[in-house]
Amino acid sequence: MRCLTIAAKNLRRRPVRSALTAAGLAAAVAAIVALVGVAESFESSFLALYTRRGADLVVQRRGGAVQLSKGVSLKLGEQIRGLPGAGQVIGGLMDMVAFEDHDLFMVIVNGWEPTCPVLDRVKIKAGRRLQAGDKDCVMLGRVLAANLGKQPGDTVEVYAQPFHVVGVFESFSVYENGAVFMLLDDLQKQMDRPGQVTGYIVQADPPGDPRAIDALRSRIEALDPEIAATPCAEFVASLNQMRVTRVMSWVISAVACLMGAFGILNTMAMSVFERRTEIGAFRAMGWRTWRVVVLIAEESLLLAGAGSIVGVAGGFVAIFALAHWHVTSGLVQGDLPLRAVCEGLALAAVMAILGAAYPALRFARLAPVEALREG
Amino acid sequence: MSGSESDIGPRLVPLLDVRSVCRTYDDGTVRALKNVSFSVNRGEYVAIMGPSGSGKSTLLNLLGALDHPCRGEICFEGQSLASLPDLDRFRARTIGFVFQSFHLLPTLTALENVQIPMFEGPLNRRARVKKAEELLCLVGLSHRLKHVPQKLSVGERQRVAIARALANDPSVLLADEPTGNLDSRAGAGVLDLFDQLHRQRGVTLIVITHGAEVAARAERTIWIRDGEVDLLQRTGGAVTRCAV
Repeated sequence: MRCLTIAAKNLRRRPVRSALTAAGLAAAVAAIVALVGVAESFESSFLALYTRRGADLVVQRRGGAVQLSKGVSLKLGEQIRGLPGAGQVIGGLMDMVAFEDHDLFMVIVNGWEPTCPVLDRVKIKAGRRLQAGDKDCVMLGRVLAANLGKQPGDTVEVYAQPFHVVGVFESFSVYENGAVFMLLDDLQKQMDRPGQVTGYIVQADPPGDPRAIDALRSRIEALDPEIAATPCAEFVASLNQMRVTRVMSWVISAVACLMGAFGILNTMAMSVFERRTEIGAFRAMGWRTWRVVVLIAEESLLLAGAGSIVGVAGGFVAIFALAHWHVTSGLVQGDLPLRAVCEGLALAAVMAILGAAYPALRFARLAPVEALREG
Repeated sequence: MSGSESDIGPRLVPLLDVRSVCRTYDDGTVRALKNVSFSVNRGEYVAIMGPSGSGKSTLLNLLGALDHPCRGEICFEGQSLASLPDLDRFRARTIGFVFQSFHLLPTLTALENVQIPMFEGPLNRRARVKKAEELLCLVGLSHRLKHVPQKLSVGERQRVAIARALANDPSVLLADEPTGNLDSRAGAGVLDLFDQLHRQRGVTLIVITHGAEVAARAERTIWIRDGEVDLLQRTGGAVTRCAV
């Protein structure tokens, strides 16, 4: 028999209480895994939008709290294309719209030039791609088309104006699958941003070479002091939306963690204090204080372990459900990032230690003779 | 007021020597033990008797190094317990406790319960299991190894507790009302077991009891009254009145 066996069997004395505590903990872990997972997936998917297109730098106007509200001129794109060490340069305008009738509140709208390679790289599932000369036409991502119930030939209302759906496409990106593509001219008109794009994604020549990227970055930023050319990962991490998502997920996770810790503390405190004389007997038999503390900590960690397994599974189910719920399916990928699992497990361990600390420390200070005294 | 032993040979170092021990509570307003002195030799079977509130349990706690005297000292093989650097180790290796209410873990089997004190001993996991089996055989429970306490009779539970108390081969077995929760038949069985342990293994036994039938089995009885040693009585022999 190991000390852990005693801890495990102690938890079986009050199976309902142990199960409820583990369930509370599982809910906290599930919340952490789901929130951190969504935030992680949000960020990694966004980064993939750039990296999978071979982009090395994102060029945008400096400052400002909301990146979507800023713009750079099309002329800047021409200047970048003319720089030595510049490879492919793709400019695009981006906005967010809502389809309130369908409970879709954060749908990305991209405006691309007709020759933009992005339009060539998505897979056309139905209809055709946007072409030069299309006016008031859109392509819908596969998920958005399904959520809106639209197909080529239908009309969809964007910016309170009817747009003709010419095609339905599929992309590697969850965002693009939930997005609207239209030609740049149309979007500039809708956003009242003539001659502007939100930014450029720029490939260095040779692509991915750090020295070439650094050199190109300096050259681009020398064009206009108001312009920042930022490596993709750095750019994505600096996005306010990402920061807010990350902070929100951590704040909610911290609250969930605190609630889980209180739940486990309550259970452990009740469990230890109702076994006071029994633990006193252990001390009488020569058990050292630290061994009693370890026993209490093991019970707490076992509860946390059970809660973690259920919680990780619950978090995965939550992410899967969000990825398939029409309201969020255009924003959330269905995968479970390993980091979210690790963070959920780590926080469960923290909850277990916090929950065990008070009863364990209180008991550590209690003399065996006091513990043995009934009542 | 004090009690003293007169019949210990001068060459013998007593196993336990209680010297002018006092224990008070509540800032001295409650005097649980007053100047108590007696000694117990290795291999002796001693009963401590007295009415409720006389200080018996306080004395047991002091003998078992669970508590400290306010005055006086208790020596084990000539060494004061107050001078021991590690009382947990002393309790684990030297003292075996048998409680009135057994204090068995309800979710552990008899075999597992007996192993609890062994965590503080030198044995590895396999050796712990083997020794626990041997001890349960010794107390007549070889057929109950895998039973949880709820599936055992109260007498059997106390036997498991006795086996547990013997787990680390203690020098002294301290039993607090070991038959207090048992019917007469089970109680007699436990006392027979004590007799057997004392006779065959030479275990030193100190048993706190209310029952005359328990005291009758012991070699000596120490009577406590109002926190003082009142009488020292050798079974079937001399009575020494100590209290004045």
